[in-house]
Formats: sequence, structure tokens, C-alpha cells
Amino acid sequence: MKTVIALLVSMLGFVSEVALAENLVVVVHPSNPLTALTRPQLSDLFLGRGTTFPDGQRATIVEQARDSRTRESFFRLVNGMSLNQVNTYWARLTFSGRINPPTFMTDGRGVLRTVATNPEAIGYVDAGLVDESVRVLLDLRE
Amino acid sequence: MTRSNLIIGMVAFMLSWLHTTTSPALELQPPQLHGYGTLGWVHDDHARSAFVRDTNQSPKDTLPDDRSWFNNDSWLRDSRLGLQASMRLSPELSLMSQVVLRDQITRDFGYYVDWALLAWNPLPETQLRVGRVGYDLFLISEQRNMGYGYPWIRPPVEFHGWIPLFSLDGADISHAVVVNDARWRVKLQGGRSLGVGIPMDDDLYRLDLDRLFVATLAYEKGPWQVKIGHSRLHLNHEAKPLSPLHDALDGLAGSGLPAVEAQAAEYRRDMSFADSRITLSTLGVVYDNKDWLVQAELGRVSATIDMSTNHDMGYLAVARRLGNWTPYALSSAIRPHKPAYAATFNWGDGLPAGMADGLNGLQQVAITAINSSRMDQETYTLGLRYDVTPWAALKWQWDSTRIHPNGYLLRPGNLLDRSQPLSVQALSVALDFVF
Repeated sequence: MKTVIALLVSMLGFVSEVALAENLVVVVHPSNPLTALTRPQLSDLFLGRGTTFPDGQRATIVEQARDSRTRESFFRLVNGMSLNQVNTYWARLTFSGRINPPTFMTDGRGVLRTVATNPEAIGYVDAGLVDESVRVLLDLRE
Repeated sequence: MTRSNLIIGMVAFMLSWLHTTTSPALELQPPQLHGYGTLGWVHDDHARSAFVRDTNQSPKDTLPDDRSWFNNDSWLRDSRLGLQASMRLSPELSLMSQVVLRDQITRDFGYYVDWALLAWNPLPETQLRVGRVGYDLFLISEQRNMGYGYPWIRPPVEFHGWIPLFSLDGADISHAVVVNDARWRVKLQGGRSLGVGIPMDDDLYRLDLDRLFVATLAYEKGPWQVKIGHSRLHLNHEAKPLSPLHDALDGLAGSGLPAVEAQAAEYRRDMSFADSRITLSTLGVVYDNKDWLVQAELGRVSATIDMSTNHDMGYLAVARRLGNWTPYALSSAIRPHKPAYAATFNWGDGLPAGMADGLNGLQQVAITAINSSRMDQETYTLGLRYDVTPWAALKWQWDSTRIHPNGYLLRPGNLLDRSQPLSVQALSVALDFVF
């Protein structure tokens, strides 16, 4: 019985961790004129299928750490892909020579700093990190 | 400066810059070094034929004289290591180079450089690349060496094994448009390539390909992807290993044996690679809804000479993703357009014994040489991929291959009677990873 309880507690802990990681928002530079972005458009950008915002301006994605739970949650929320599938997909793009691999930051603060200093950048971070240096374009909690 | 030196210099330049540049202007895309690899092992049950992943691998590597049933294995065939350096010089300009170390018969460093290119994106959906770029005709043309990118251990040998052409020196341009949520992409490539070598007995034929063109149109919407392609290649020199045979056949001109002269001239034409052309057409379809992956591709290749490739090929692959596990099945086949060459009469008929033996022997050598490029086989594959981590996958695969008479190019074996069919079972294990 104790084993079952311990297992349940550990599962609850896991769920809680996932829930924290799913508290995500998509951010852009404050000067970016874009007001809305759909999840399919967001998915295309972060899968390298699209390189521009809907208004035609060039877009550069800024990624979280490659194997992070944040990145895993982001893709599950946006297009349902697992991290294995996303990494396989990007490996095919990267090593085909068609496209430069995205820039991976070590954590959300790195994403925030990079987006805040680059008008064409788009990234995703935990909502709790957001400050006035960036603008929230899409709330993935909704 | 030779082309190889130029490529090597470009790679060295990028690698050195990789470790020195700290320009703030590159903050969004600083120099990066990535890589991939495969540690693979394959074992088959036939001692007198060699497993090759493609025709650029030497059968001698796995066909030693003392080869027995119990040592028909190789760590070389599927193992490889790829390193890629890339950097963005500006939002529109980027440099990229990729070196892939793999088992192949052409072992000069330049042959291991798959790409070394400068890419320019004047518009977000338009890209022009110059340098050494990937030969991009098939669905997975540019990813054939990266096992992590597909479920199976190696691309279908029947579809890809006869053309280990990974890159071309020249340029390409691509443009994409989005119409009704569907993405259309057209791409044109042109250049030349020194990237292929074909073992011929103890010698090597380096295919010097020029006037090489590729045109593709790709469609992508939701889980669907369709790609059609057309390519032309021109071979600009003879296969040196065939020179003695060419000379012998040429020597029959004026022999006073009209029927023999005519057939010898015909054989000579059919094995004259210089100024010959190859045309390829392909159609590929992918359905990938994240749970299921279904991929099929058909191809037709025609050449102006019979000793080159004149074949139809295709494959169908199905994979089901179940968490970290992906079981898959794959079937692939290649068929020649024409039946194998056979003697319609013996050149030595009616001649004195010594001369007859010599002519009949020459005739048989010529027929064997022309038939040696035929591929006529199919493979049924079952396998399992397990994603150990988000950057590594372990795979097990079983292949059952049946080779039809005189269809042995993809399954060489010096001691084989190639007029007989052959059935081979192979077991493979591989660890694919990216970093």
C-alpha cells in the first residue's frame, strides 16, 4: 500500500511539473506590429516551414534548450508532436543543408533577453518570466 | 587550386571562424557545430556475396577469401559520422559545410565533404545556394546518411543503393509559395559531381558527372507531402577498367567476320560510358500524421547505353509510432527494363579451335560485363526503432532479399554463379544519434 501511495505521490509530482512547464506564452519584440498568430502558423514557424510572420516580415525563432521539458510542452500544446518527433524533424531539416538550425537558449531568461533585443525574433517562455522588454503575442494557456 | 582544395579550404575557414567569432551581430545565429552518427552492425547468411549499402562500397571489405558463414558481418557498412558547421553572416547570408565519414571506396577527403555552400535568401521564401550542395532528387536525398532522421536502419537499397550521389558542385535555387494552406516548393539544381566511384573487379571507375541537372516540385499540406523530380546526368569519360575489353572488341573490326564485327560493335557501344547520359524521374508520397508514417516512392532511370542503369524501382514503408517505440515494415524492389544479354550465336562457330575459343571467351566476357550492371531484386524488411533519448535511437532490422539471375550489382560476389537466383537474410542493429 505504501508503494502505491508513493507511486501516486510521485505521479502527482510529475503532473505538477508538467503543468508548470505548460504555463507558456509566445513573445515577440515590443516593436513587432503583429497582433495575432494562430497555432498552425506558430507551428509552421517553429518547424522551419515558414520563415515569415503573417504580415510578410522575416521571423527568426528562438528556442528553449533542445531537450527541455519546456520545449516538450510547447510542441505538445502547439501541434501535438513529441520531443522525439520534433528532434527527428529538425535533424532532417538541419542536416539536409536547407536551413540553419535554430538558436537554442539554455533557459527562458536567455529566450527573453534575445527576443527583447531582436525585432524579428519570436520565442516562448513561462508566463511568470514575462516583463515589459517583450510583448505577449499568444497565450498558450488559453 | 583544385576544386577539392577549394572545398577543403572553405571547410577549414568555417571551422576556424567557428572558434573565434563573437560578433554581437550574430547573436541570433552564432556559429554552430552539430553532428550525427550511426554505429551499425549487419550480419547476413550468405558467405559468397557481399552486403553493400550502395555501389560506392567495396565488396572486398566484407568478402575476404576465408569468409565463412559465421563471420559474414560488418561494422563498416552502416556506421557513419557527420559533422556540420554553420553560421549566419547576415539575415540573408549563411555558410554551411558538412563532412560525412562513411565506408566508401573513394577515400580522398574531398569525397567526404557533402556540402560546403554559401546560401543567400534575397526573399524569405527564395534561396540561392552556390558551392557543394546536396543532390536533391528523392524524398530523402539529402538525409540518406542520417539514420536518426528515418525509422529504418538504411534507406531502401533497391531505391538508393545504385546512386550514391550525395552532392553536386554548382548552384541551386528554390522558391516556395503558400496557397490555401498548402506549401509548394520548386527547386532547380545544376552543376557537376565527382562524388561516385564504382568498384570494377580490382579497379575503380570514378564517375565524372557533368551537365548535371535536377528539377523538383514539392507539395506539403497537413500530413501529406508529395514530391516529383527529374534529373539528367552526363558522363564525360570512359571507365578505365573496361579499356582492355574495349580494345579487344575494337580489334575485331576488319576481322572478316561480318556478323561477329557487327555484334562486337554493338557490345562496344553498349559499354561506352563516355558521353553517355542518364535520365531519372521520381514520384514520392509521404503521409505522416504523427502516429502513422507511410512513405512510398517510384523511380525510373534510363541511360543511353545498356551497361549503365536502365531500371524501374520503388518502395513502400509503413511505420507506427507508439511512444518511444516505432515498429515498421518496408518493401522495395528494382527491375531492369531489358532482359539480360545472352549469346545469340557463338562468335567462334566454324573457326579453328584455338581462334574459336578466344572469340567465344571474349564474347562471354563482354556479355558478362554488360550484365554486371543489372539490378533485379526485392527486399522485405521488418524492424523496430526505440528512441532511447530525444537524441538517440536504437534499431533492430531484419531484411529478406531475393536476387534474380543476372541482377547482382547490389549484391556483388566474385565466386557467385550470377545466372542463379539467390536468397539472403540479413540482421542489423544500429544506434543512431544527433548532437
